[in-house]
Amino acid sequence: MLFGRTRITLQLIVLFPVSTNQKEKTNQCPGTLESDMNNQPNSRRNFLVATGSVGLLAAGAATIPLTTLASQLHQTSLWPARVPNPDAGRGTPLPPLGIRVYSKLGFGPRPGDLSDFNSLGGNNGQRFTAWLNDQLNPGADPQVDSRLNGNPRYQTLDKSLTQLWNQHHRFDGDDAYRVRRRPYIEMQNAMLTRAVHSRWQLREVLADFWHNHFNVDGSEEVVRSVLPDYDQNVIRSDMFGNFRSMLEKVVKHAAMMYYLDNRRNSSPNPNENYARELLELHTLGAVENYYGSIPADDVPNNGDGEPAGYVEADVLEAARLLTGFGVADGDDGAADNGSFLFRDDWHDDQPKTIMGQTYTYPGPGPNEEQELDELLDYLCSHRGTAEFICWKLAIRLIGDSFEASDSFIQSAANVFQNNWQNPDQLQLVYEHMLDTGTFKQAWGDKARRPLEIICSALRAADVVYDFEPTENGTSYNFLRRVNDAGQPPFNCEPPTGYEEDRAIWKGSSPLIMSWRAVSSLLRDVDSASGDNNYVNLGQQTNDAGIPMTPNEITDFWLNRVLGPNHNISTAKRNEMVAFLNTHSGDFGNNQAIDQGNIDLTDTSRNSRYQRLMRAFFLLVALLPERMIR
Amino acid sequence: MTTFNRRGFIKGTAAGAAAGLVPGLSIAGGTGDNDQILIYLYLRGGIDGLSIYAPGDNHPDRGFYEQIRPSPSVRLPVNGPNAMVSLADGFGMNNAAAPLRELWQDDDLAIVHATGLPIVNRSHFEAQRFMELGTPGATVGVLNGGQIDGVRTTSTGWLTRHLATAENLPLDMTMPVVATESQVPLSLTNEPSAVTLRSPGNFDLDLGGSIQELEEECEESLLNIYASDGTDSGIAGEQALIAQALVEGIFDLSNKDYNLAISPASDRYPVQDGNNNLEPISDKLITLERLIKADIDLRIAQLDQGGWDDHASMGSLPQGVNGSSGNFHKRMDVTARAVAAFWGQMTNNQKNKITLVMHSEFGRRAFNNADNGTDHGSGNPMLVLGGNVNGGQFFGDWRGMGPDDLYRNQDIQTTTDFRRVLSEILIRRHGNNKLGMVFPYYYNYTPMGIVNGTDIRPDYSPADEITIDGFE
Repeated sequence: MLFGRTRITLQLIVLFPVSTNQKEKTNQCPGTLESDMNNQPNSRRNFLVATGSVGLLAAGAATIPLTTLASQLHQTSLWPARVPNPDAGRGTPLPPLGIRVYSKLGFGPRPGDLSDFNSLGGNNGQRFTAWLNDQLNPGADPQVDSRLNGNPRYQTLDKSLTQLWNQHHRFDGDDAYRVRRRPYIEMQNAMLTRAVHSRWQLREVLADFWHNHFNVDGSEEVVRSVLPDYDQNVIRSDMFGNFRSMLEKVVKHAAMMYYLDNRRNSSPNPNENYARELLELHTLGAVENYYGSIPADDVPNNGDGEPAGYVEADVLEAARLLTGFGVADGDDGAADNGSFLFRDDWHDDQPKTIMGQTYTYPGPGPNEEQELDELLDYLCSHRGTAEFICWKLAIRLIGDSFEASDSFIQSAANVFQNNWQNPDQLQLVYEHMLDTGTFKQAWGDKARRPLEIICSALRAADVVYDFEPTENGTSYNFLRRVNDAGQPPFNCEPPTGYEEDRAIWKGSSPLIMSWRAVSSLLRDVDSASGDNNYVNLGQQTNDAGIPMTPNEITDFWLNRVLGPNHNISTAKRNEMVAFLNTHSGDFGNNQAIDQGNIDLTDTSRNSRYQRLMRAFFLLVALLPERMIR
Repeated sequence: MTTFNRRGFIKGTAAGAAAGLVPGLSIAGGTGDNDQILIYLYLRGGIDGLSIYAPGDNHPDRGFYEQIRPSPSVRLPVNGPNAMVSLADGFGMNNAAAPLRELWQDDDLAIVHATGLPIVNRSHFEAQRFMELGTPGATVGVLNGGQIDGVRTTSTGWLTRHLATAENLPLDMTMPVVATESQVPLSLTNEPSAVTLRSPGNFDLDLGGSIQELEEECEESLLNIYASDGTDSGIAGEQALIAQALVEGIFDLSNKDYNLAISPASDRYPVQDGNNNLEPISDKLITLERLIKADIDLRIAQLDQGGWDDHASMGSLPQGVNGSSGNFHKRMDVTARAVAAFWGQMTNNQKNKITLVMHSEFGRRAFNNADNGTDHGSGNPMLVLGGNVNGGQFFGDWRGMGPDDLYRNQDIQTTTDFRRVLSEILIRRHGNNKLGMVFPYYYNYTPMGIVNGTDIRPDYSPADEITIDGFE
């Protein structure tokens, strides 16, 4: 049947009347909470039910785009203590452009980044264009190189695939588990090093994006050993270049071959795992372009006259096409070095039809990979892939509320699709999406995820840590604390990579556990040298050259972390001042610190002064304004 | 209702403010006294139902089963040391699940055959969304045999909407909704009262040192800062900090290995090989055990267990037996023991409140593939455990495993919409009949008799209007 023609799109509709009785909450003193609680509409059903406001409409009737619905539901579904102030939006007033840029295209600004940004031009447009041009062409990176290069704690980052395979995956001596896993542990430490220290922040954000798009789980066998090669020669080598080129390297790399099983995919009983994710996650995407189990003929055509998406039968056919594309792993007479291997005798030599295209195996020899080439060409030039990749970039770099049909995404998809064979394709796409009002005006639609919370707080604290493994390649304790926050680098088990949607991340666990990680990493990060193993916030405060009163200290840190034109409410600032004042006798009544009580010259790790400044810094670094981007 | 003497609520504010703040996590909409607890255990990756239980020796499908599972490492044997343990109707259970079979024999555990989505979908991403968002579309009641597509992205989950529509919950509850996860599960999307709690023993700011007071003051100041913020971000952080305070009251944070301590070497809950760490599923169930015993008004809990996507070397038998990797068998063993250990810790009174559902996004292909694994399929059992479950029996239709019985000659044919099972629990145990809100476009519910309780005529509104006006 023509399901495609008669399908009705179901949408959840919430028609939420503008409420006039929600109280303005911003800037209220904490002491007024009780009355607020009592004045709230006392039932969440008042929002969702009694208004008769949740409804369903079928396509053809009036529908409201889901993005609009999402924002309405954000207002209605927080229940029952407080309802977000509808005027407050999701975030806060627009912070300076430098903050927005470093928060979205980086892991947050370090002190100094904002003034550097502002010196790039006479107005925001000039500054951003200059910044972007610089970041799209990364150069020397002394803060990272000095930590990773020639450091005996990093032994595997530059190894070739064959070396990683032989010396780690196939290592069979003492401590084999540790040796096999060492490349993964080094990669986790290197990720932190780069995110926190790199001058090329956009590069690190993009590397994180592509690692999640082409996710592999570094804790698994083989992946753990070959991950550095995947990072260097698949992701980083191509992420400013061409998508088709990167994809082919992904398909053929041992990390993906093992993670999604295609190394075992053989005729006549294909393993579908990779074929499905190739379509669903890596190219066309499932949200818009998977038509399920309907007949292929029922898929509508897109503007290019091609099938708009794929059906279940296409997955099965793609699995057949991918039979025999594997890894030289010593099995079945093959070499044992981890490189890509096409196995003619595992390959299904009958024709396959995928999205209306027929693929024919030319037989063993120089053209034996022709079907894969043709399939990747087809997928990478397809409109659905262009839209899906641009949509994913937008929801990572700009905000959660994009849809593929938005003109912004369509425009970027044009660039992606028109340049699908251009060696600079991705660079052009980034430029096209970012040097726009849409990017520059966006703020607060996204939640910072645990790694982003942690790294941005460390950058705000201007840390000089060396993140590195122990001598025998295991993790120091600090890495476990980072991982406990819920987003361990290179350790996402499902092939989707870590979720983007703020709804997934705004729970108590991501927040509390990320804050805990920040707190403990400020205090204690071990490294080989043993130097700089805590952040000396006391010294940084002393070096400010300000009168040591609660007001002055508070303003110094607010300006340092949020920029001189920050918009932090009086209530919040007062709370910080009060926190310092609580230690009356130390800082009481905005008097200068009683140095008889607290020794400002003692900035050792656990001095009274240091601990106080550490707790105080958390209030600044963990502000609600800094949990979004 | 248990109250916790959190210094943050008391110190520096009027005593009344404490009463005002605590319901920040609670459900203030109802006036009832429903005390039922729904625990939704999600087995991510698509568990192979045919490795949980399968036709036994005298079952008419045994021959088909052996034919389409030629690999002996993914087929449950009828005899020998790893023989299946018998259930009913000729079916037998993986011996790794023997602890669950004890619950079956106690009449606490029931199994619903061949449940699934109304429209087959073999994508993890989509199937999980359709189930947890509760919006899988419909094929029933649509004109001309067409179908209504599901919603892949929406901003509330089915449990969010259940909580939004339940009218019989108490006015004040301390911590009614908990997911033992690092992230918010889709089924609780945008549920503001949901606490995510993966590591209760480490759930604080950890300022270190000996001055605990400083840490608590810092947490309190942060709470005040977040409470003064009317944005989504401010509210999320405020709730996180209230949850933090409550958890600190429930879990003794001075004992960081609390969850481990509750499971001494007694093996009550499984621990990981080679060291003394708890298996994640044990850790999560102990957290729930603790929360239930703390009497903090728990109503909804979700926990996840991943890793069931066994495309290669599935290993339904113990490692080394018939070439098995043992992967599935070990996971099943750990899961079954953890669930049984949890159940063993509940009093009869608590058992009578609890319904625990084990659910997965789809079943796997009836045929094994060439890698001794299985690819994505559809129909799959749901396991329902509870003091008010009519256990020790199967529910739903088993169509069989012959060539004409399978869906497209590949999967166990789905015979029960998963919403039917969940709806029965919502209506009979939780007294919520607002199916039109919880599961939009689901409107052919009838009870199967899985759980005890009073039937209430389902309220399909607002979908009612649509069906009346447009589609029927």
